[in-house]
Amino acid sequence: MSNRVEINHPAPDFTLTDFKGNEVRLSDFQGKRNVLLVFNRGFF
Amino acid sequence: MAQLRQDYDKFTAEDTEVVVVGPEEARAFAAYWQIHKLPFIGLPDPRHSVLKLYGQEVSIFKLGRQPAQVSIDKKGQVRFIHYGHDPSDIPANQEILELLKIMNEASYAGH
Repeated sequence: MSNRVEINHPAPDFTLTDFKGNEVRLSDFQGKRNVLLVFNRGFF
Repeated sequence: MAQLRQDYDKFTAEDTEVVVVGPEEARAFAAYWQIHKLPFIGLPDPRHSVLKLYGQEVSIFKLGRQPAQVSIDKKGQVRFIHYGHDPSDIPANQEILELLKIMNEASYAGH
């Protein structure tokens, strides 16, 4: 088991493209807004 | 998702962006977002890169894809993690909102 995601530690950064085609980088929110990251279990 | 949408303004009031990551393709995201009129950022992750980064090692996907929420403060620090044990195991918005309020207060206090 890894401890990559731990409370009070830096959130692992990532970049994904949203469904509209915009690049979204987690660290872009840093210093601006909190982020609630929701991992969906699937829509269907 | 419907609950999150309902309280979206409250999350915004707490200076918080809601970012949903899922395994579907962009087209499925677009259709779902349009039908349900969701205001959040939707990130398709069909290659499971972020899903693995955040969840693989704690095995949240071994039992099928279970819901998970991670709250990250403005310094990029993880402040709250909730891994669901079954599909309905999702913390109440109120619980998350209270936590965000505490996070903001700590941030303003310079912690």
